[in-house]
Amino acid sequence: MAKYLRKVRSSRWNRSALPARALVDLSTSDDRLSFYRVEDDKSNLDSIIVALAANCDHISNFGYILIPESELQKIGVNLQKTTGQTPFKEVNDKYHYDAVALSADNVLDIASIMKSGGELDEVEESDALDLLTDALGQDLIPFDEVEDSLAKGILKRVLKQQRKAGKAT
Amino acid sequence: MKTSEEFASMGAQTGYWSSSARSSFYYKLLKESEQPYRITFETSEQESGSLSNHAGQPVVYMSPDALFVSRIYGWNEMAKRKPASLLQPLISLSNIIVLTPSQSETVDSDEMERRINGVRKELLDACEAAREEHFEDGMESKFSRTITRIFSKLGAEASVALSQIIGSSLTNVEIAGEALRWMSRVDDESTTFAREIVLRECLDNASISIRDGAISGLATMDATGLIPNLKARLEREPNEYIKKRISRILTHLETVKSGKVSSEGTI
Repeated sequence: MAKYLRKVRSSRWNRSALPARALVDLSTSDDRLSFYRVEDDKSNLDSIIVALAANCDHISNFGYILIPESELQKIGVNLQKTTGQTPFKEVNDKYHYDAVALSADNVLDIASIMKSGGELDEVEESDALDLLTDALGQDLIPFDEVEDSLAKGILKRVLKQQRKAGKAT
Repeated sequence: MKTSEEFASMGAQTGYWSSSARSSFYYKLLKESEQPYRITFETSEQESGSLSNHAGQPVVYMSPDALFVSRIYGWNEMAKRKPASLLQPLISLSNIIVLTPSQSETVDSDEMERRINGVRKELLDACEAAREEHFEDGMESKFSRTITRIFSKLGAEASVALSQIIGSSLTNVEIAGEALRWMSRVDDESTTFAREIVLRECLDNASISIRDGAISGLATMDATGLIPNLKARLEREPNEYIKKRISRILTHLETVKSGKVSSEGTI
């Protein structure tokens, strides 16, 4: 069964009782919420992570929650295939979905299943950097499509790590 | 208590606080206190030595070109504790004094205090305004830009001020965690150590949001010098998710330390 990925800040979700501020991660736009569909075998998970990392202003760690498709179906969430808005076109076209026509109750239900049946994980900054560097190197993402601040940050981090590596050796 | 001249002379022997401005600054701190103090210099670099201070206690000093943090320990307070605990931080964050070598040549204690107070007010104002904002990992905000600006300008003083704010719970934990994330991104090596001190202190904060911000910051800064602190935190961390993050970050920092970084600059 496929899962749907929602980017979150993990420190709002990694506790026994869900704080109200976790709902910030479920801010709707036009009563819609953006998700990415992750295949059963998670074969496209890295691509989705790259797309989300490329969509940031700076290279950073970030959390995400994978929600089983069956759980979303149970609460009657209507998912529509739409085009994502990241610099990674393939991911935008293939894996992006919107939960549409959401009511406030729907959002609370989604929060509840994210907490109870979701799989919380984190992309550490170093992993985001590696994945993004590879994707840019392979021209999966055009360099000029990412924010200037992100591009500069990537270059700076790579140079810094190389400098540290030089010192260590 | 030694005289100001003797104190300055002792500093000169270390090659460290040889300037009169710096020695008078420390002398003032000692003189105004009601009890003897021990002064300890800490360094993130390996180049450190030791000597005895006016109280006959060992102090550690660092190379003159590095940023330093002096910690002032109340001796009566320390004497009540077991010897092993003397090595542990005993003081509130408000007692940390951070200077850079260039600042310490020209800035006296009043000026330093004035700067720290000014920065603290700026940070508190930013924290208050941030209550209206929502934060997302990797995305800039008005708050993040303010933090970046303040720490780029006066990073050492801002580190002290942020420590005081977090230590005194003067802002909410979500905002504090966000501040830790963004101050770690500032590209200023002269204040790296001061900022790492703040992150290190926050590793033991009771709030998950603040601990999460601190470990994120350490990862951003590639703070290999704090690997032992992270390992110690891992031992006592109650939150499973934070534990998982610390383990991953430790793996990364060990890799950076060994020089086997994975990013080879393939862009």
